[in-house]
Amino acid sequence: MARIIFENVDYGYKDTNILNNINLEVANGELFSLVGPSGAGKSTLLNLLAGFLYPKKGRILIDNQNITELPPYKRNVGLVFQSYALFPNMNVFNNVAYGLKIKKVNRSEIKERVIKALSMVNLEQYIKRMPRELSGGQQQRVAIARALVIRPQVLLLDEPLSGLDAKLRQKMRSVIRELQQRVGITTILVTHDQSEALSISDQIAVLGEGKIQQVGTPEAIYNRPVNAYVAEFIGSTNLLNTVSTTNEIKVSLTDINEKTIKFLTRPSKNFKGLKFMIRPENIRLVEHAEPETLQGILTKIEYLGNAEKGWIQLKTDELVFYRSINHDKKRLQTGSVINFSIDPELIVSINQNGSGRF
Amino acid sequence: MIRKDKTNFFLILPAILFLTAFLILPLIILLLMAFRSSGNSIVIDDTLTINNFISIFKNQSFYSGILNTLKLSAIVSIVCIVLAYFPALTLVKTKGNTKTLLYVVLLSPMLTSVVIRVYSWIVILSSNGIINQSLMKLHLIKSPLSLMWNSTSLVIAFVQVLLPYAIIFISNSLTKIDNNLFRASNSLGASALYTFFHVILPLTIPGILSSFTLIFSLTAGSYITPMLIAGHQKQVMALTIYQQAMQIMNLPMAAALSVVLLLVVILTIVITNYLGRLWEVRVYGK
Ligand SMILES: Nc1ncnc2c1ncn2[C@@H]1O[C@H](COP(=O)(O)OP(=O)(O)OP(=O)(O)O)[C@@H](O)[C@H]1O
Ligand SMILES: [Mg+2]
Repeated sequence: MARIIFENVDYGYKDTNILNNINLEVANGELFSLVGPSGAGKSTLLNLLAGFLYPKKGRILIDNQNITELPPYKRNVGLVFQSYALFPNMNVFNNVAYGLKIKKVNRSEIKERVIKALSMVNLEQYIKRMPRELSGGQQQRVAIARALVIRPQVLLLDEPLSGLDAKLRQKMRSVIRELQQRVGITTILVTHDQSEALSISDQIAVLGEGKIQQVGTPEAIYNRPVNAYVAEFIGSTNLLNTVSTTNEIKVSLTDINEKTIKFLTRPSKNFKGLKFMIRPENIRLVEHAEPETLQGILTKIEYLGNAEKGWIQLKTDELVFYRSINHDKKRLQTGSVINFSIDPELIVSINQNGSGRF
Repeated sequence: MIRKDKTNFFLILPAILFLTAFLILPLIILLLMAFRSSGNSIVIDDTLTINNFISIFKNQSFYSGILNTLKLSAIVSIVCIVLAYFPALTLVKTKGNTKTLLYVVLLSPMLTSVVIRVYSWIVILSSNGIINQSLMKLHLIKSPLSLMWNSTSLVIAFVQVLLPYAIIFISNSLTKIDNNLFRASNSLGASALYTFFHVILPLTIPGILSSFTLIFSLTAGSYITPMLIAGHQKQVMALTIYQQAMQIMNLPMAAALSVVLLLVVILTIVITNYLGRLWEVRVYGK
């Protein structure tokens, strides 16, 4: 199987640079997700790996073989597109058999491998259907079977699920993960759905402003973002204001009653210029005001089914929180006064050298 | 629903009137004329007869004429379609101003009059033409080659003007193909040629059929190009009709020949389109 390496890769159209000095390593058998805002260059990165684009500078290696200059048809890469890209003039069988016919595999083996690939995605009974006679999810599964049947070194998925409805997306997400684990193939998944990336990846790379902002496990990306870009892109977050004196940096909040609570004090010399954040789910609402709680006005509330997301206005700051809903909890009303507390332990510093809790 | 149908009817009324006045009526007149008795007089008597058709089908030269016409039209259509793919692919790939420029270049042959275009071919191909003169000056040949007055030069002259139609129809079919299909094919290991025959060609069948229909009928109906380029070496039906009408002044016979040509062309197009649909169905299923 295969390990993918990007070494100092630059890419741009004419004078604009889309990707700058990309260094990435995807380990063998890993499901690696690329996330980033629209236009960040995620598809560009995949196209460089598939061979539809060539870098201005740098090298791309698969299994220590330099493939930077190789045309697409000489690379052993399986591709799945958002638009499925099934050949409309071929039935399911011929779509999946396409790559094998090119490789001049003999007929009986083609048949055997196609049926095996289709049964992996539970579509063996649809062999004779034309693509337009299949649902979106089924087409997507045929596309995956077609990519896998040629036994590629790596599998590239460009937003494979964004054309599907929410429910099917959830299901296909686990289909992909389960299949990837079973085949053990190194996979790069492009997505702008962060919950998708967080739930099925071994590693995630956040791409933004033309460079890799952070690479890490889903847990690391969520809990220990290295900069504000990552912190704000993945999930929601509250960046907290700091007050610094010559010796100290303080993280504190002042509520509507001018009550101030100081959560953290850090020596200036180690923490200069750092930002601090708290995730919305770590803001705890309480019934009654107590010494360690603050008060704010609920300005907006979003109903999420099993939870609600709200915004609390303090003296100057605004905080976002999540609260789970169950049958015996009263629903919140906008405009009401909210008491809440923050556990200083859950405040995280955003640190280039690996952020962390204290 | 009924209301909407009515407004629709009023909207297409001008088109219907136009077609009735300038297509259907002339066709009816043509049809009536075909059943008048032949003669080379201006005065045509009123009795209806099928003698024109009988004499057409008895005449041996009619069959060679119709065969020439069908052969020529078929060759021109096929050559145009084959030659159209490369420019069409280029056209689809280019963007912006370059694309506009390419369109202008593409349509420019259509902007020149037939006569001028054909005369320029004479200037190039005739025994005193550019090619022969150059070759003789270079002492590569002793006597002029006969480049004119044969069917090759005729095909060249037709292809020059009809090729843009094929390019436009085929590039139109090409733009409907999802770009990712080429990428998918490529990454599955297919060379450009393999992709062409297994993906591009089957998906452009509609473009091929429209090109064939249009180019075939335009070639079959054209008489100026054959008259000027091939003279009487290659007698095509359209030319015979022209001679009957304008030189012999036998309007009923010209009309009868026109009716026959029209039917033959329609029949050919119907048959090829039917075969094309069969091919399409085989390719796409259902
Ligand atoms: N042919 C092109 N010429 C010039 N710029 C281009 C071209 N193709 C893409 N770009 C630019 O490159 C940047 C990256 O595009 P890319 O398609 O890789 O983004 P992406 O991260 O995949 O976005 P999305 O999530 O919307 O798919 C974009 O800003 C886009 O405008
Ligand atoms: Mg993209």
